[in-house]
Amino acid sequence: MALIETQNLRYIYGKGTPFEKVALHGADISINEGEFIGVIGHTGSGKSTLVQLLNGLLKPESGKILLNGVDIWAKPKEIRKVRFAVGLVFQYPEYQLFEETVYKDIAFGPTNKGIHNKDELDAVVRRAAEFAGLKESLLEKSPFDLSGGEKRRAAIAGVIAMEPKVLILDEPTAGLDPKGRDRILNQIKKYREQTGSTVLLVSHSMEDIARVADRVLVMNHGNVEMFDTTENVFKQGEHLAEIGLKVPQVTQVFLELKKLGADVDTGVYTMEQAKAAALAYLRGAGTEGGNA
Amino acid sequence: MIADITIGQFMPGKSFIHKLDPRMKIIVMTALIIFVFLAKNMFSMGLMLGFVLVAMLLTRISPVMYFKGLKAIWFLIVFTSVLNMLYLRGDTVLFQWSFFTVTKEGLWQSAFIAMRLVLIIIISSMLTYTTSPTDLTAAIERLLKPLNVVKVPVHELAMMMTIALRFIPTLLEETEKIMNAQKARGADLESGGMMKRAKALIPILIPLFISSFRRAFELATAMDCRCYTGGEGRTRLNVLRYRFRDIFAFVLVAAACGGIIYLNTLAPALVH
Repeated sequence: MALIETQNLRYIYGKGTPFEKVALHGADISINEGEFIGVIGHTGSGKSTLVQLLNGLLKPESGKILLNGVDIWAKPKEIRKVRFAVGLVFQYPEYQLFEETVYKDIAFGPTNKGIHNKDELDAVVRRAAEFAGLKESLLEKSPFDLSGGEKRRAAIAGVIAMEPKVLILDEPTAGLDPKGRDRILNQIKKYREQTGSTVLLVSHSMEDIARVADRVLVMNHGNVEMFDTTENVFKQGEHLAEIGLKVPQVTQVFLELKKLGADVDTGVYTMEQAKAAALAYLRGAGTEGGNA
Repeated sequence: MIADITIGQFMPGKSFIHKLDPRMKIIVMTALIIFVFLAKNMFSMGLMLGFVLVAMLLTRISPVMYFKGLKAIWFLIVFTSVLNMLYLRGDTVLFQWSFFTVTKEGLWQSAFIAMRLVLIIIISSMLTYTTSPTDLTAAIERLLKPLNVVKVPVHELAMMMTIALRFIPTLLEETEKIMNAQKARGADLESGGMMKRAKALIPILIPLFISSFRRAFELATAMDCRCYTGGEGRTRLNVLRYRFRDIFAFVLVAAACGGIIYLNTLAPALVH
């Protein structure tokens, strides 16, 4: 059984006003436990709406969201439980920091969840800080004294600390320098490997998605355009270009090589695959040349 | 929930009223509000009501939006008219029960007062619905300019108003975002007693405060970068100019006001 499943999910912003806008036209997706899903789509395609629906911050106009087979809106009063199970890290999450110390801020989520035992809370907070790559010494500092990247990671730790079954990150690397991006992506990867949780990563960076995702969900104008393995999605370069998206740069290079007449595999999307494919081609070309 | 606030919201359009000079709009709307209080009998109030309703339709904004504006003070209107009805004593008693007395005069008076409140709300919504905040403050700045003589910093006040108005939607959006972010961390904003609810506001207010200061500093820097030094010697991109339609609107409103004064003399006043 799928961990999260949506059935004909629809959402409308500003219903009944002149500004009414359908953000989601009936999405059907299904995500299994332990998967790493990349979500891509241009601005306004419904990505953020979808992730907010998944953790019950928005209530669907129609359709259902099933978490472990149970409709999350079956008992509206218990929607908070869903938010603990599906942790959502918003865009620019550093703006939600508010406590005196980083430690207290990370503890906000687990305390709300009902963890009041001091030792238990301490263990949860420290574990989350480690997953987010925060040094022990930072925990007693004020969150407002941290650097941009540290603030971002502290905010992510605040969600990880709730120990959600599903972790959703909405553009966690936006506005960071390359080092900060790598750091966050690696921490997320490590977190997922060690805990086996399901992760959804919304991103505008095809490279980031290519690096980490098992499957990619492509959104376009409030519709699910594609939902397939990373390889299959990035094979459809032209289709992606039509809806204002791109394939990763390496894939682009291999597509161009093919155009120039080289018989290379165009299904590559990471550096390792590119290296293997390039070597395979060169060897092939080498033997052909030897025969001639 | 936050998006439901309609008072003071600008709704772009191309109607006759939208196109009026904002200064003229402020002048005629103020005149209309004053004359709402001067209409004292059924004829003059009827004229006022008709005039305002026609103007309301001319804005091409759905009457539903005006009703939404009224919804906010619905309780106030009902409450004051009921009080008026019970407290004002006249000669013609219509209804009596223990110490409650309803008289014909009281009834008329409360109907008039309710009507006045409704009209004032409609007129002022008409102004804010059809005028962008920038136009509105530009007009206020121009109209208050004579006060410069007595050293009132009119331009600075207008600039502060523009900035405040400009940031209302931004702050609302920001509040909603922060609320969502804290709710995603399991913050419970909806249940508990007074103290618990007040405490639940801290995770929202602190980030909001910090981001407001950040925005203020950024805005100040951006204004400095564009060499903003205050009102002196500053010219406008869109210079306000009275056109034929403004004069037309002025004459119409003046005629309606004259009509109200004339109609007041035709029948005895129903309200004091």
